[in-house]
Amino acid sequence: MCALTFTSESGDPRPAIRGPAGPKPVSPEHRDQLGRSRALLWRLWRNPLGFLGMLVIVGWVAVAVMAPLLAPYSPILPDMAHRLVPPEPAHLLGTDQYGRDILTRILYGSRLSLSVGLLSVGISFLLGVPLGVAAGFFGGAIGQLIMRAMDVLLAFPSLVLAMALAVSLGPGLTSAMIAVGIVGIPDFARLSYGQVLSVREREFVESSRAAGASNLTIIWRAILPNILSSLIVRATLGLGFAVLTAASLSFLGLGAQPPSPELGAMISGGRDYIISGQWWLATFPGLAIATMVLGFNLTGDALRDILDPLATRRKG
Amino acid sequence: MASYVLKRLLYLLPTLFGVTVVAFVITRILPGDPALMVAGQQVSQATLEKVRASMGLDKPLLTQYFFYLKALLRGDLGFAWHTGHPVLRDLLTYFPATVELTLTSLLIALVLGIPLGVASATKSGGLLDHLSRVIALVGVSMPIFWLGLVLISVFFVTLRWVPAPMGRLSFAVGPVPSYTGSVILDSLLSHNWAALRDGLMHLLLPSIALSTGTLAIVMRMTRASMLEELGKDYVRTARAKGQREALVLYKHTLKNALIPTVTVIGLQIGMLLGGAVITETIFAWPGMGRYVTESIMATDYAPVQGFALLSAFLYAIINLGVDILYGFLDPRIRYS
Amino acid sequence: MRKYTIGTLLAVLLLVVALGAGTTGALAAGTITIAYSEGGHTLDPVMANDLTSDTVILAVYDQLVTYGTRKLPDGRVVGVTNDIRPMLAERWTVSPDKKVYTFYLRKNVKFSNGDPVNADAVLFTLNRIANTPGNGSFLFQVASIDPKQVKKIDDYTVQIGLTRPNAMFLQVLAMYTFSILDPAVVKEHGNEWLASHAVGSGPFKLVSWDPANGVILDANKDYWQGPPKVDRVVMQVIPESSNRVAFLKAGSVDMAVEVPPKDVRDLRAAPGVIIRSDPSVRILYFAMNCGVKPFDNPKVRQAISYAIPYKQLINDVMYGQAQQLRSPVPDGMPGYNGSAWHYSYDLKKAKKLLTEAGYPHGFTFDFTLGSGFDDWEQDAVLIQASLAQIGVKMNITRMARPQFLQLMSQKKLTAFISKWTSFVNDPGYHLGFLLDGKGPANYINYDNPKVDALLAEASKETDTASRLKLYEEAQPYIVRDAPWAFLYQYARVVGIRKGVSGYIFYPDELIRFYPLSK
Repeated sequence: MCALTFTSESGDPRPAIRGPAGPKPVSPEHRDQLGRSRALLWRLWRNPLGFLGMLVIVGWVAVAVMAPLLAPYSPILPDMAHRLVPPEPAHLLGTDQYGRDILTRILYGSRLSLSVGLLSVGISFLLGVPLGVAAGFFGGAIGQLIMRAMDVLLAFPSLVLAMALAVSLGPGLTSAMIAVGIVGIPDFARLSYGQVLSVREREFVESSRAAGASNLTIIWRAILPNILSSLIVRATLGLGFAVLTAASLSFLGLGAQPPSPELGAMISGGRDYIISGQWWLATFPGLAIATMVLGFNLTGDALRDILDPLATRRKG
Repeated sequence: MASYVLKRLLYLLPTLFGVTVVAFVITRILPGDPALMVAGQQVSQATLEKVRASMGLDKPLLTQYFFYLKALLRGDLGFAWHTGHPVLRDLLTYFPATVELTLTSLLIALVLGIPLGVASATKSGGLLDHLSRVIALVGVSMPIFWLGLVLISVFFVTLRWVPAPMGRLSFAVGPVPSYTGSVILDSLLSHNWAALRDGLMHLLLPSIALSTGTLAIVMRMTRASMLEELGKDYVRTARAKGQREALVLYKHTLKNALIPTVTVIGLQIGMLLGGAVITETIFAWPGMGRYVTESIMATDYAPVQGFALLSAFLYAIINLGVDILYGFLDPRIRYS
Repeated sequence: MRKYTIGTLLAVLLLVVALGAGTTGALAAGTITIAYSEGGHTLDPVMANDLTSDTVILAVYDQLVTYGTRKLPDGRVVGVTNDIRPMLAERWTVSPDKKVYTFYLRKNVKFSNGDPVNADAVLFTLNRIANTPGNGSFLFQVASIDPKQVKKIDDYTVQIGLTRPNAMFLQVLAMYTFSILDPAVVKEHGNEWLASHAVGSGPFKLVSWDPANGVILDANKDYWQGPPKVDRVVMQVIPESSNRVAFLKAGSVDMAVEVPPKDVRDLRAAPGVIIRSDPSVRILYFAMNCGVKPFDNPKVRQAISYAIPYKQLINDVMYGQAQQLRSPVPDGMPGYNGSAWHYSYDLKKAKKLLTEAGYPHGFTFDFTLGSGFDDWEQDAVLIQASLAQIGVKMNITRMARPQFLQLMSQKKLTAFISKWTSFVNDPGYHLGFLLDGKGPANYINYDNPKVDALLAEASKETDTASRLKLYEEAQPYIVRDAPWAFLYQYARVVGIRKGVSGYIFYPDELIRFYPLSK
């Protein structure tokens, strides 16, 4: 799958896989004052793209929560008498090869996609960040070992790794979710590793060390708050990536179980009908995925503008 | 310089070793019994055991791994039972198709991405800038497999502009002699214009589908570094001297601005190889991505391992290449 | 400079788009192009067991004997698997105890490289089959061939001894697995080479094989039965069924196999296309593991059998390209007896049986769906919806085919859908695999001593008619026990362009290219 990250700043939070030396330290000036969450939300709201992104996300979340109220039909019950009906008033987005209403299935499908996205990013985050922070903070042989292991994972094309893992973990959406989560670990590890390296020697870390704080306290109190903002940006963008990758797995027949209305699986099921002209089976679920991912990407992009102004407002 | 390259290559060894371990472990935990896949269902249990033994699968895992490493050192990547060929031969057969697809996508991304990036940097904050930003975001938000299907639906099913989305050449055009493995180059070399046209038409949709993500990233990257360069003193000086704006932009600034883009290209090749997996499946493109997908689905161990090793190696080499290129573009960087 | 190059390339690309692509020209005369869904796994006759590979092997190699054909009243020509005809062996004799067969080989038959086809080649081939682990060596057991009693009498006479009389022997000998190899070639190149190359005495010569693209076969002009009627056969891999259909419609291929049922009606109306739909012996069944609660209770299994919307599956999923399966033995296999089948879609009866079995409110069970076949998934979803109406909750787990096969063979699955085509079109082979208490493919712990006894008796019977009678007797027991819900028997659908003739349907579903002409 394509990367969803716009590695647009030269202080790239996702440094290339260039050599063992690790990433270039990021200029830390703007990391210190991490805006409180309310202020952050406010600024996001004021940013046009961020506003649009948030609107899309809120929209999809609302759809997911209210799916049973909004949906006109059952998402799984076949109705063979009305199959392959093109979009019409009774079925706004048409019906599939089982006569199921595609709009209904998309509404329910958004629940699956959103939760898979959230949970797999959660896995990447909760495993990747500690690994990266440990590697950056303690350095030495352990740090080397961790980062080399991440290199090994990165050396596989991510989708191939996700596929192999998803097959190995057994059938089901949960496996796909875990597979996507594992594939995302190196990203978070590398990012937090680089970030920790850049703040490790800063005075507030030194001062807490001098005050006799334990390693854990230093990490928790001094380091994490200072690297959190770039992690948030990455996590938001990662959500889009996770939704896409999970859909790709379902498209390949891994992950979602029939008859559940997973969006990738719906596209896969509609694929056979493209050539014979029943375009609506695959088109609408794809649009749903694309807008959902776009929401995350817009928000992530805007967040980066706000949290890391250096990256984008650099006009002499 | 040479010692730097050597050192980097040495660093590669432990990574490759790690890749062999991970690939071995992953294939062995793939559910399914290769012996059953080879022998089929219409055999007895006893025969199945014999098949298993003949494939070396009755040995302890560590022994199997040892045998694998030993063969690997001899340059033997094993045998793919699901294609009936040695893995190395298969990889060599399918690799050029993937390279052709990947490089074409990259080319599209660069040809469109760099000028757009430059344009939105010079008109930063303008309509084009915002528009390109949104387009870029939309580009990375679309599932490749869906975009591929939509392209097929529009350009093949409805408009009939392209040949059936299947493989690299229409079989009525026939195969071209293989000099390079690239259908385009081969048909040029053999002056087969029908094949050239047909090959390009086959290449068009999959490479467009595959390029969107990279295009977006190249565009954004170029914009950001152009902005940075445009703010620098030498640009102001050049402008003050009254040099033509186009010259300033393309001759002086772009060269420097491309440095970060080059890095991204290195990264993107890895991404494109991954994306090729899906694209090849949709367009029945006979490349490595489809090969490895089929191998995973068939629990064919050797090709999955071979593919992992090859892609890890490529990944490392490309990034090494990028770093070296970096040095040429930016003489300030010294290798140590 | 660089910009110039890129600009040129871009211009070329745009020009090409602007020119557009017309459909490609007509197919070359003398060449038959056939669309296949996959490209095969191995060309080694002993290892092959997929339709594409087997077809190539039959085109390149000859066997000692072969199947006869019959013209049906409607004009279709079909293969008859219990009518054994001479091939490389011009005749054979059987000893009175039916345990020793003597084959007299046709003289002056040569492999396409000029080597003679003689007794040594036959011996080499049979020994190789016996000693290569795989389905070939198992067929030795199926046919009761005694590897020690395979003898060369003279250069053109071979004797094969059996451990006991076996009605399936000649049928097995006609299979692609028993393709006669050239010993010199195999000795020179080794066994692995044989997986991707083929040199035989058959009507075609292998030009190239690439599993991702297809196979090219050229006519063997010196074939001993006379040269084939076409110069070249191209087996084109077109994985997507909808593309196979589109190509057939456009006339870009001469034939297409595995035409999806949903497109049959459309194709029948298409000018220039003929649809051949033959009832096959490929069956699809819904298996219930008799060793797992609640399917250990025959009443539960019968209840499920009454709750399956058979007509819907055949009409809506298969678009009529299937017929009701009425017995574990398919219609078209010798010894078929569908008289005991009495299941229909009757939810009331199903509910009643469930209540009698002690499940008045239904139950929940795990159903495993092997991936790779569209109709299976549709069947499963429809069955799930139907069972829900009698309170039975069916949880579908779809898994990749390797894992499905593995779990199935370990008898771990509670319920699943599976297809089966017996390599040997014989009820003894078929039932012995699937429903004998010790059958290697009895994945569901079905064990009826009465059935086992009848099968054992039949396998000893040397008289063909009495043997088949015993199999006919066994089937009603199985139908009543309902270890499977009998879903359907597939039709083999092949799309053919007008002007192409010579297609013969064989129960093994492999196309013989030799009779094809255009």
